[in-house]
Amino acid sequence: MIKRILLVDDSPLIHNLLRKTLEKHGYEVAGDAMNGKEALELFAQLSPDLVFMDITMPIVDGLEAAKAIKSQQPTAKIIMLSAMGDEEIMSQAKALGIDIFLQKPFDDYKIISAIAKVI
Amino acid sequence: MDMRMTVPFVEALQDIFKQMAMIEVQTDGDPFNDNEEVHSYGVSSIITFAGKIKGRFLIDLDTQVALQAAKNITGSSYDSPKEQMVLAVVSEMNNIISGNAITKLNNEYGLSLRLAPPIVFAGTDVVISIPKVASASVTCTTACGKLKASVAISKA
Repeated sequence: MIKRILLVDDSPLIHNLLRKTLEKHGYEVAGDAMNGKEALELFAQLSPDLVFMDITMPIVDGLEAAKAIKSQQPTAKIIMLSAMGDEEIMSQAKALGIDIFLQKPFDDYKIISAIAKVI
Repeated sequence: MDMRMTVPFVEALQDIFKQMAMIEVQTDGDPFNDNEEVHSYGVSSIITFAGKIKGRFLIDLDTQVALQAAKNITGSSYDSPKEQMVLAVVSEMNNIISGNAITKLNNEYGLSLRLAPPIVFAGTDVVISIPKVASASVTCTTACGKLKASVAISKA
C-alpha cells in the first residue's frame, strides 16, 4: 500500500523538491500545507502516514503545529525538516516526540532513509 | 560590529551555494563595515533573527546568479527573476544559509536566536536602507555574476 505524506513548509521550492523525491521513490504526497494552521486542517482531513514539517513558518510555526498534532494523535509520525538545528530547538522537538529531525539542505538519500526509519 | 559574527554566515553562504546550486562563491576580500544603502544587483532577500541579540542577514544577487541557481536547483529554465520559483529559490537559500549560520552561533554562544520567514524582491532599482544598525558586508564573485552578503547585529 502506497504511503501518503503531508508536506508542511512555507517555501514552494521545498514542496517542489520534496514532491519530486517522494514520487520518484513511490510515495504519494497527500497534501501541501504552507503553514502550521493549514497543516492542522489537512492532517485532520487526510490522516497521512507521515508529516514533513518545517519550523519557521507564518501564522503557526512547526513546533506548535507538531505539538497540536501529537496531542490529537500521539502515534502521528512527524519528521522535522528545518534550516535550524541547534541543541535547544532539537531538544524542544524531542520533547514533543518528533520521530526524526533533519536539517536543510537535504538530498534524496537523507529524505528516503529518514522515511524508512519512521514508517 | 564584531566581525567574528559574520564568519558563520559567509561559510554557510559558500557551502549552501555549492551544495544546493552547484555554484562556487569566492569572496572578494574580508568583510567590511558597511552602513551605505544597498542598491540591489537584481534579486535580494532579507531575513531577520532575534534572541539575546537581534539582527538581519541580506543576500543580493546579480539576476544571472539567481536564474542560474534556480535552474540548477529545480532543473527548469527561467526567463525572469520575478518568476515565482526564482524568488522561492533565493528566499529559501537565504533561509537555509541563515538557519545554518544561526545554528552555529546558538550552539557556540547560547544566543537562543530564532529566524523570521524571509522576504524577497526583484528589481535593480530597489534601494535598501537600514539606518543606525552596524552591519558588515562582503562582496563575492561567481562564474555567473556578483553577489553581496550583509550581516547586521544589534542589542536585543
